[in-house]
Amino acid sequence: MMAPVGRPRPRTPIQALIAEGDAWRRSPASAGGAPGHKEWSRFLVLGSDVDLLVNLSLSDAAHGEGMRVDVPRAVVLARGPDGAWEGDVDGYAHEDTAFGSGPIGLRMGANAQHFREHRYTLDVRLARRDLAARLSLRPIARPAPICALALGSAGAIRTFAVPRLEATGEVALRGRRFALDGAPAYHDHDWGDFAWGGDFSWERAIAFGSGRHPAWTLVFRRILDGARLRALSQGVLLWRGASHVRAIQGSDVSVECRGFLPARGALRIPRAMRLAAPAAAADLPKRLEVRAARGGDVVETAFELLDLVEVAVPNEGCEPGATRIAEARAHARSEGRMRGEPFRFEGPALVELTRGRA
Amino acid sequence: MAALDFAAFLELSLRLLARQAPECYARLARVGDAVRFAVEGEPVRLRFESGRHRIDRQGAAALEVRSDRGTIGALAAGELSLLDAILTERFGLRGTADAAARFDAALLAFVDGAVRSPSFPALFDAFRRERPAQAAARFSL
Repeated sequence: MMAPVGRPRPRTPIQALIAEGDAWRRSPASAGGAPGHKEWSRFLVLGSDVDLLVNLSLSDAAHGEGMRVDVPRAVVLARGPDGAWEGDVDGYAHEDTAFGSGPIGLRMGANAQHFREHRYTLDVRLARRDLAARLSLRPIARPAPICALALGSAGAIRTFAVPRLEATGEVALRGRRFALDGAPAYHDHDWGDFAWGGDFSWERAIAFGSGRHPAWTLVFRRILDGARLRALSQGVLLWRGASHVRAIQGSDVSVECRGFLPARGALRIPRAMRLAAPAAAADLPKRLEVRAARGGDVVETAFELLDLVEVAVPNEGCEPGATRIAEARAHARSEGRMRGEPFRFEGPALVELTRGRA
Repeated sequence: MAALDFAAFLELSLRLLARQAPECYARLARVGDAVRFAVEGEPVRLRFESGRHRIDRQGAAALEVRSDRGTIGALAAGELSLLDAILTERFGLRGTADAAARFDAALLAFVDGAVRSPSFPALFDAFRRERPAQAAARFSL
């Protein structure tokens, strides 16, 4: 039914957008279709003393004895007040995995996510590391629409993002307990059919403005070819409070990488991958500068990368080695002009950089 | 309970690679020289012939590797880098630079295969605690 003329269309409630966008898609192979599906649900919390990054995934994995469908894995990473990262990746059997009553709920081993009564709940516990968390996450910004990002000839990835949530609960890390009370958080859900090690890489960042309300939230994402010489797509999305106020994309966005972030000694998981893909000293920037300008609107953001943890994903097909996904804790400063009004904010950030074909 | 010895671990892990990561096993067989390993026990020699591995006790080797179970565990757990293990003499290599470079390429292929083999983490755990017959039966090798 069409909305009445002259009246604004009612806005879809945030929880309805989440219920639609955040459902697990699952591999077509689980219903007799083609394999190759990858899917993960990611939560990022940047607290004053502890940061937490959780990735629950269901991905098809080929090996010499055939294809395993919807393989459950949990990656849990945390950064303590000393800037040191801890974490691991735990794999689970299908009998240890169950979907919840709704389309978003999922449990694998001791890890679970649910969406009930307008908020997410997240419980995680690593099997072999002293790291666990129990959180309630309340969405406070409208989700970004589902976006399809082409990975060149390698396939495509679709992403649904809840740019800002407030996280409350507790993180247990290396014998210490850290309470969170309204810490800024981000959630996304990605899925697609592509092979790790293909001719693509990506750079993504999330920045939380702190201080005055309504708070600013910025998401940057860019897909490049594997050599990082050509951007396939890029965009900057900006929220103020709950409202998505601007998206600037394509050639209106420019990116500069400056300096080098030392990677030697950084935690890499799975830990055995330190043997397979030695850290390259000079391929992660110390500072990422993103400028987006269209019409009279300008957004200039600098991400100062502080330290990192790496997740190494074995390449697929004929490509040896691994794709390294660097998760770098950062501090962001952003300023510019939006609809004629100057703005400025700064706060904690996370920058994710993939380095393929290592 | 005696743990799986290194020779048995090597044999089982290579069989596992051949089955679950055949591309990596083939790459390993292409680049792998004959290497003698001395890891807390009687040395064993690994070599490749017609694309298949052979483990024996005698014969010439291009490179000799000397280490211990704890160091191999620390390397696999990412607690120790290969460079640090070599510099602290916990992982010794004796041979020509060319043989060491080929060993590095072979090790890369082995680790590439190990992380692609779903059963490898359990086999590595067995290296720390089980008898060979138990491990072989459990992995149907």
